[in-house]
Amino acid sequence: MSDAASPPASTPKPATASEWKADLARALGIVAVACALGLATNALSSKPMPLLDPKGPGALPEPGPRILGIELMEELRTNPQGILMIDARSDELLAEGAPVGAVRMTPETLVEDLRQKKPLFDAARLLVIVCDSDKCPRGDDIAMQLMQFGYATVKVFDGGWPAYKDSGLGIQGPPK
Amino acid sequence: MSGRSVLDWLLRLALGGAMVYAGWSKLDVQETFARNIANYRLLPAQLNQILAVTLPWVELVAGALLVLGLWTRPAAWIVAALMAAFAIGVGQALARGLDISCGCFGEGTGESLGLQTLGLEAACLAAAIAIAWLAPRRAARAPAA
Repeated sequence: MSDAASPPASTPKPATASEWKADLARALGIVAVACALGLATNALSSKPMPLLDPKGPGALPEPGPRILGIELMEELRTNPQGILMIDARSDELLAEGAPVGAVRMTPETLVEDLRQKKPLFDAARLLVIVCDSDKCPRGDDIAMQLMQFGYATVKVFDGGWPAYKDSGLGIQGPPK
Repeated sequence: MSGRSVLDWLLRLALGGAMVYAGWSKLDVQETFARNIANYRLLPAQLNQILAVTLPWVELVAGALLVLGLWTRPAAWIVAALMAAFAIGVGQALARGLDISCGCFGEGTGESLGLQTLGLEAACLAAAIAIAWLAPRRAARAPAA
């Protein structure tokens, strides 16, 4: 083929139907190999993640029991030492302050947080989780995990951080 | 090296590198990733678990192929399909007002979803399409047999 008949370097050559089919086949092959690698490494792992378990990881947390601002206020009035506030909000809300005495916790760091702050987590205390809003699964996730660790009295603050701010309950600087 | 080749190389390196990092960062935190997927409230637990195990590897392999310049077009289409799917997931979560973390990079930064997440995914989608579009041009410059 002569140079004159060749497409110029700047002219795009549209993919033909057969090229599209080849691309699709290769893409499916790549995905299949990658999925096989994922399933194989999970199966060979020392702690494989359970698959096809409706109650396993990846199950939506059940909505945790709620506590209203007025109820929390009453609890704080009668037994302030019996309550541990847990700050489960996202990082960008930290600048707005935090519930007084709150311990910072996320679902990802829960196990490590429990280990580091164990003395605070007295099983007799009421654990109150404050999340970004009422549509914040992190709060329910933490509540579910804490109950699985044996903490019987865990509640999620109803309405989340906006409701907390409006409740008149104490706000302090970012938790340590 | 032409301007188009440089652009192609830069896009492949940036997008492929980001995909490799995204996949790698999830390999050790599969249970966390399964919870992150669950928070989008789209799929049953069983599918969340399978995705948590397989999706990081798809990201890792497709990203590595982009970086290496092997099977570039199929790899770019995989990334484009992933980004489109992620954008749908993020868009519906934002529309429903869910306060969840992205889960894009393993345990990540703890930042909530926002329009910036959607913007990042749109940019990655555009980059993947551009890579796929630029790939046939390389073939056009190849010497004819």
